[in-house]
Amino acid sequence: MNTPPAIAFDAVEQVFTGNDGAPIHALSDLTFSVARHEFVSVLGPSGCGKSTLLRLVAGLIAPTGGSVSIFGYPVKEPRDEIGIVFQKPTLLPWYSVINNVTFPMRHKYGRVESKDRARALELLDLVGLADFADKRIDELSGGMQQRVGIARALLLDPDILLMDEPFSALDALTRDEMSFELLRIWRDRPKTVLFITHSIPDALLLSDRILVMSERPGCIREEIKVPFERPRTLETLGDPEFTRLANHIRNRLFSKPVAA
Amino acid sequence: MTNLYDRTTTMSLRQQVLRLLDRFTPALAFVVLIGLWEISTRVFSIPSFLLPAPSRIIADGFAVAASTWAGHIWATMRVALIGYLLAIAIGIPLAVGLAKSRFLARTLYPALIIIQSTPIVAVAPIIVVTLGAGDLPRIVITFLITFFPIVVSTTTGLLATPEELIELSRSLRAGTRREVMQVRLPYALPYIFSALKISTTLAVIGAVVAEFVAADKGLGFFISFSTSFFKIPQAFAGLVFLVILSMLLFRTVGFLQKRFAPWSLPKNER
Repeated sequence: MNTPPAIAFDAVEQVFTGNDGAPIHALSDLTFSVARHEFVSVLGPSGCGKSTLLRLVAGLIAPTGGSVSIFGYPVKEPRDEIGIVFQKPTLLPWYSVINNVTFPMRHKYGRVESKDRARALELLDLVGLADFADKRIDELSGGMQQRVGIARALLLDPDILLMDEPFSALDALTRDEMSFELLRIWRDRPKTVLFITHSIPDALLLSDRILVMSERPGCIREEIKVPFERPRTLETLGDPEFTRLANHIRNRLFSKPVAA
Repeated sequence: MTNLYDRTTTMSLRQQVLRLLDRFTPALAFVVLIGLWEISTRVFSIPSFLLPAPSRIIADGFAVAASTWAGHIWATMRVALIGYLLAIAIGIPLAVGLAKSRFLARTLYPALIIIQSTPIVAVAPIIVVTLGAGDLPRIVITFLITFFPIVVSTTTGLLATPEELIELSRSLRAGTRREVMQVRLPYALPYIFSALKISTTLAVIGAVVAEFVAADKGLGFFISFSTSFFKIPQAFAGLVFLVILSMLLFRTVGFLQKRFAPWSLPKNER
């Protein structure tokens, strides 16, 4: 029996009404699918509808045309199979670190049991913050806060992890560190990951496949299979093929070739 | 080396003195101001019915029996507190309604603005006539004066909640009640607390205005009563208690915020 893909977009169109009342075509004729436990990056210029795409998968908005399905079921509302990591850590400063991680339980079911706390501690350990469980959020650096965000997204053990430019607010060094962290986490807890980014190196380092999007109205301009062996390391970044692919994507992103 | 050591200790001593000075500057400034006031009333022989000397205010204040003071203070505090707590109890749920329902916002907001635009001092006599004697009209006046900032600030805070936090809540399908209780209201707390602080002083103003219009007890009544008999130093003593009452209420709210919601304060105030 053929298992349905984790995420499937079929001719999806998204039209918003702008502030002036004119329609804005965010996405047009978007078709792609993501297999279970695959790591797929969506790469595109700002305003190409990447975030819209993520919100469609999350069930936070409904498509104006076409269909979005998860494991073969059309998305009608947010589902438990999905965890979201936002661009900003989006933590709640009135809760401690551990209570931020258990927040999905508290928010969804109104109570947190000891097994949830144990699970949260396990996840904090996974993201390298075991010693910070009882700290306040403002005692953590930006990178640590984003790790808490990742632990929180994993609490309900989702099959699909949606990441909306999760490292874009971090400095360059922390970013690289977090990318390798994410690879390690993904190896320990295989998930279907849809990773929205505008960083070509991030996309190449992390993904099995990259979907390169065009400017608005967003559609897929090219699909790139990333050939590097896993586990990927710092050496991967130095591979000549890495540079070649990065240049290739860069040229696809800008419709006109860029002269230095 | 010894030289260097000596220098650092003198530096730290100097710094200590400066730090002490810095710490007590507000108190010192206050004492100097009172002193200047005392001296100028004596030097220029200002009559006490124009501007009584601080010493005279203290003396006349002590001439009034402690139980009399207690009665007036309690009367004002009771009205101010009940009106204030009522404004919180009604204002915050109303703000939630205004933030969550476009219909409520569109129907109630204009009415709220009309209430706020009406000078409460002018309405006070009418309210007293309508609601009769007793605490009720005073509580209503205090309520009306404190209520508006609480509603407006709370609504602003509820609506200022970042979109991503709301999306997090929606992605968990937690429902509106939990969204408000666990996300929007805590997020609005800094806004709510700043309104609660402003409203403490407004509550005392409301209670005093109400007592000016009709009362047989309370600090507002005491001040207007004293002035009508030209007992200006005694009126000033009543004023001192009003200031203390206002400051106490203000400080209590500040303390509660620090105790129960320290994260809602700026970092240097925690």
